Amino acid sequence: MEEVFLMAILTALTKLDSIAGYKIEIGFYFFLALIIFSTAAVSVITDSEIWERLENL
Amino acid sequence: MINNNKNPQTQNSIIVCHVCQKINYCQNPYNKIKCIRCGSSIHYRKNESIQKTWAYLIAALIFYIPANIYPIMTFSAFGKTNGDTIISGVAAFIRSGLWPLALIVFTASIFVPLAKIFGLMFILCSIKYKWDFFYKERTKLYFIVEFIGKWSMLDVFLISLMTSIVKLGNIAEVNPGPGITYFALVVILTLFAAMSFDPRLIWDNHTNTERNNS
Repeated sequence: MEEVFLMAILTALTKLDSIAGYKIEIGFYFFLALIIFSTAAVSVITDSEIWERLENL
Repeated sequence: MINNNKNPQTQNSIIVCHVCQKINYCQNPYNKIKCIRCGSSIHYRKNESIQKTWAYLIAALIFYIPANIYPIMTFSAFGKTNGDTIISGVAAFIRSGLWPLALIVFTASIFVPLAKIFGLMFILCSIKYKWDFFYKERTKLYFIVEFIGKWSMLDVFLISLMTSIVKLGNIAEVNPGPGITYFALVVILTLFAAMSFDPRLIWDNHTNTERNNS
């Protein structure tokens, strides 16, 4: 769902451009990085592997 | 994994856990069973999956009408208030020359919910009338429907962001309209519909045909 939220932010910013001026600050880039890394982390996790390792503990 | 047991009630059946993917063997798969590894409930088939999915889809289709009629957002600037429905919002993007955004909002808010509703209805009808073809394609369609579902939330996130950002007192203000509540309900109901559907039902007719042929 993070990527949907990011798309919503970008759409909101583009819509906002026609109403008022804005400046993107550093927090936005950190948020962008958070979304990219969390999405990447979720995509490489294999649930069954975690359960197999837990079972073998 | 191939299960050669033709009758799950009389022989050991194989059920894969939805949570940990552990293969469980059981005598009567219609009883309440817990996974031997993670302890979550496992089912041979989800209970009343078709009825629940139909109920969620019909409810979603009903709410889809007010979601498109009522404004999803009202924009007030210098005392002048304008209400935007989903379609008029897309049209406003096109008028402003923002074609990519219009396409994104159109896809997320109009195409995706309808594709989910009619995609699932198509799969349910194919099960009801026992179609003996396109098994793989129908399974793929279900997973596509499940995957694209979350993109409908774009409009809900967009309105919540705009409402929180644009608070400029008497100068400009964005408020959510009644349409967004109905639209959020459509999204939630279609998500529930996809969750309550059991894709293994698509293949049941295939198994029965195989059994009759052998």
